Amino acid sequence: MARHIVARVEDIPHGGRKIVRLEGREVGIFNLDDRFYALKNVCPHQGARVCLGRIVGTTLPSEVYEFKYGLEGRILRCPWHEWEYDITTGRSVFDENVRIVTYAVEVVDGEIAVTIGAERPAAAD
Amino acid sequence: MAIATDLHTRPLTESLDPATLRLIDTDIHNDLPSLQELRPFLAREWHPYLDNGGPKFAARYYANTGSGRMDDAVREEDGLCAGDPDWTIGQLMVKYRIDLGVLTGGLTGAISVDHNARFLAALASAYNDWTLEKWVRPYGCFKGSILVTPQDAAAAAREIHRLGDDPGMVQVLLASAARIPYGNVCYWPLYEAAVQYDLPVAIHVGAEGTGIANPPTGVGYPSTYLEFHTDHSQTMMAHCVSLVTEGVFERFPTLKFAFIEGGVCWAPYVMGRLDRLYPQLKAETPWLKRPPSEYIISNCYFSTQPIEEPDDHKQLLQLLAMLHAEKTVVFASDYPHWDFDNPILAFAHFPKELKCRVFVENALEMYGPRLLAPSAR
Repeated sequence: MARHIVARVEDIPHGGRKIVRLEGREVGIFNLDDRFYALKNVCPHQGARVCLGRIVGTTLPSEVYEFKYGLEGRILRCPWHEWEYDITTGRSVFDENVRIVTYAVEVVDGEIAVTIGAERPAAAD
Repeated sequence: MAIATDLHTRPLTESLDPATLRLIDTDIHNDLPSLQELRPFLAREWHPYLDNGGPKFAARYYANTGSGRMDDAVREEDGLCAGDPDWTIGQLMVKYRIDLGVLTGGLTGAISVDHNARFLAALASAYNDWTLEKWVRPYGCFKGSILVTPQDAAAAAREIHRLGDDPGMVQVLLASAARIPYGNVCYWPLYEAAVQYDLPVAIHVGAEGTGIANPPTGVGYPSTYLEFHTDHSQTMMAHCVSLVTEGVFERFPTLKFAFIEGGVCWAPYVMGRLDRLYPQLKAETPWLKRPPSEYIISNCYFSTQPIEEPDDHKQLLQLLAMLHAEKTVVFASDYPHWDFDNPILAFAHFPKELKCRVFVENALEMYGPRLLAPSAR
């Protein structure tokens, strides 16, 4: 396991992201309401650089012909096939077993650190 | 074996050695940055049609909630997406180690379904010349498609005769969106011309229900892009059944017909259904000398993308075996569209031998030697 300082909190504004390279892999660091999340930049479907996708919301499960748009700013859509992922968990919205690899993030003294090789606990505030 | 990129970015001086090939892409959507680029290739009387926005009647109206393209394929400085050959070579051909790609452009739908067949024939010729000049002749890795309008088979045949000997062109291309199924005798002049030059005829999905074409399904217009896109296989099925039963492959036994971007898993169903009904109903079509599925295996090709992705890969391999994929299936990426298939990951579960057939050998058989020949005459 190795811990990497990837940015200072002010480097990644609300709703923003930063792509970094750690130990040979690209990782996307996302700021949602001052909580930071780290996702591997590989879509589990066909390998696209998923962290470059649009950050949007989605239509939540609903009754027939009812629309509930929600999770604005929390959904990452893959640049290729438009698969939708929850940035906070890495899981797709259509099958919780389809997920982007995630990494543990912590913030210490304004520095964002990502640990490669660790199961991710709750996101860092 | 490392791919030599100078084979991509320079015209070939001699034919490629088929033994060196690892991947042939049958569906690359090079983009026309602006209709006005066709102006120098188009006779003066058609310029006002360009200025009025071109084949707008065919404008696509089913769209998904995304951008419709691979967002990471867009060049930041000018917003072009597959609009520049050198950029496309770097983004697609080199990155995925594709030796040769067949260009399918972005106007196939419009040239099939807009409302003025005379304009469409002129536009097709201009587009074909633009493709040759900008994308095919300067490079060693791209081959073109002869776009024709199915609305005027005589004009389509003239265009095939105009370009049929050009080594830069490897197929005739039409939209699967149509007014009449493609087995109909009204299209036969087009097929007659194609076989004269040993050019496969390919149809490509996407314009269903637009312009003068019939609705996207046999029951009318669906609501969503999800429906629309899934239902593309319906038009492919209808054309395939029509081609076989109308006797096109008896009348033109050497005609090769390709179904592009319709997926592949509908075809085994069509084969089984036709063969089941053939003994009972063959009195209607006495010109069929063989079980219908045999015409499909001997004369038809199916491109992979969008490849079906069952959770159990073995199910797909079974369907491919039913389709005789070792003879009939060719790889397609559909770059740079949103449903692109990554050749490295999407086919990881294919047995090596089948992958060789799908990635290279079937395409060589479909397009013939001109695929490997230098494009400049």
